[in-house]
Amino acid sequence: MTKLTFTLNGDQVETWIEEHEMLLDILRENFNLLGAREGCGMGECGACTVLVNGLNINSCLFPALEVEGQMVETVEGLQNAGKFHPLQQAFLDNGASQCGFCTPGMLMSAKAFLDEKQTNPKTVAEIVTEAEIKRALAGNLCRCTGYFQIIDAVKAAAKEQ
Amino acid sequence: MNHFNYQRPSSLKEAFNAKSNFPENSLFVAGGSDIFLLLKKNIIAPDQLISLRSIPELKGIDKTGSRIIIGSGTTIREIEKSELIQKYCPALYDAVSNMASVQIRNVATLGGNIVNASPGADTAAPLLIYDAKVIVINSQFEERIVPLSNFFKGPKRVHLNKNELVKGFILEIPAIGSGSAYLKFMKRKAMDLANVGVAVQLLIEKDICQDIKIALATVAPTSIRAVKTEAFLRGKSLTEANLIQAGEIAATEISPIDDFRGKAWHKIEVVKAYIKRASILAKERSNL
Ligand SMILES: Cc1cc2nc3c(=O)[nH]c(=O)nc-3n(C[C@H](O)[C@H](O)[C@H](O)COP(=O)(O)OP(=O)(O)OC[C@H]3O[C@@H](n4cnc5c(N)ncnc54)[C@H](O)[C@@H]3O)c2cc1C
Ligand code: FES
Ligand code: FES
Repeated sequence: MTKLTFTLNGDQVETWIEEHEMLLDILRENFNLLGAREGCGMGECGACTVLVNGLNINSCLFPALEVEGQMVETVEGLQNAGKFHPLQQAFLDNGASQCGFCTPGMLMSAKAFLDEKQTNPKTVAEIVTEAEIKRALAGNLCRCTGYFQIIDAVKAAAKEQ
Repeated sequence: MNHFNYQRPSSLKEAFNAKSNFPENSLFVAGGSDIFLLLKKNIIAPDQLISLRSIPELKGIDKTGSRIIIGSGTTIREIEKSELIQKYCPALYDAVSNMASVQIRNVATLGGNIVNASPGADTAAPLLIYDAKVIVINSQFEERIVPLSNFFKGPKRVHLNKNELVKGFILEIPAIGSGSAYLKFMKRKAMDLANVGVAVQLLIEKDICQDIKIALATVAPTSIRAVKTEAFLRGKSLTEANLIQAGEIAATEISPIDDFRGKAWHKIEVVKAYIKRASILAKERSNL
């Protein structure tokens, strides 16, 4: 076992892991954070998406040891003081979640995308195009919604930011 | 998946030391987007993985004179965001911006894409038209520089010794006025490997093609330069008749196979069409 220390949703945390474990395994098993899921385990579906230092990655293919000293964000960290993140609210308002299996991953990819956009001086809503949203979410599969509602939700959230 | 030991060296020296501790069954890992799939499918079972992620010597994109140097550990996403690459190597930009998903691009590296040596690797054809050379370094810190076309040995195989790793790549910036492009034919609009990939770089003066380089992915055991097709187009103008003829010549230079992505005959037809399209796009992008 190896000791691992990192920042998880804003808190400094410490845990013991096996060297071959993936980030997804330890988020679910050591921290009981069940938002990130294993869909394919192969980088195809995006259900396991979380952010490492603000970048969205597939936690099913990301060795847990690589987050030593780094900043990890999961869907559980999106709420702020009991209030939904604008993306979560927009997903609700637009019916962008049905069975919900893909939703945490979708939210995290959308967050990485909007956060990056926000560094641009123009207002986010002005510069977010539908084509860009589709490209940003290409690594997140959804078997229920047909994607339109998800794209609408991201557009709506962009207006909020 | 077997239980490997995972090392995170922070310098090349530490990386080579880790390798020499378990020379037989240890592997370097960069983004892991190829390696972890092989591990999970039990195709490989290394005792030790040596992560190249925290080694500063392997990162970054720089321009020196007429060359661009890209560290092997630079991620595909970093290359996509690079203004140097967008400006000087647009065909490489085309390739990296259409590779996999954002999640994969955030971890996958250029070194991993090339050393993995899949015949369909998206960055190989663009690197070939920029005359890329591979900087290889060994555990004695000796460097050798190999043209990319000589680095590939066959599908999934490169000329790399056990005590060596890839430090980076040198790309030649095309002459002023040149244009370049990479087109990838896939079954899906996103998140798919290339069915066929065509990269073209050309320089046109007074309507005549002064220089042209064409590279093809997925239609031979490794990505290749289409040298006969290049020779045919050099000194000619890009008329429809010449481009059609060029496609016919390219068809004689390739050896595609039937696989689950497509049939060989279809890949040949796509190469013919895409040589035309990529040449026209490269021409549109050239300044003259
Ligand atoms: C869902 C998914 C989609 C994908 N889509 C595409 C796609 O569209 N196009 C495409 O081309 N590929 C695609 N790939 C394949 C893969 O992402 C790329 O080949 C990627 O660039 C590999 O880089 P890596 O850093 O992750 O490699 P790793 O898996 O870390 O390494 C790959 C190989 O290279 C070796 N290696 C890595 N760095 C070095 C070095 N510096 N020196 C020596 N050896 C080294 C490793 O030992 C290993 O053998 C996809 C993969 C997945 C999982
Ligand atoms: S579970 Fe990680 S991408 Fe599907
Ligand atoms: S809501 Fe069911 S998979 Fe997306």
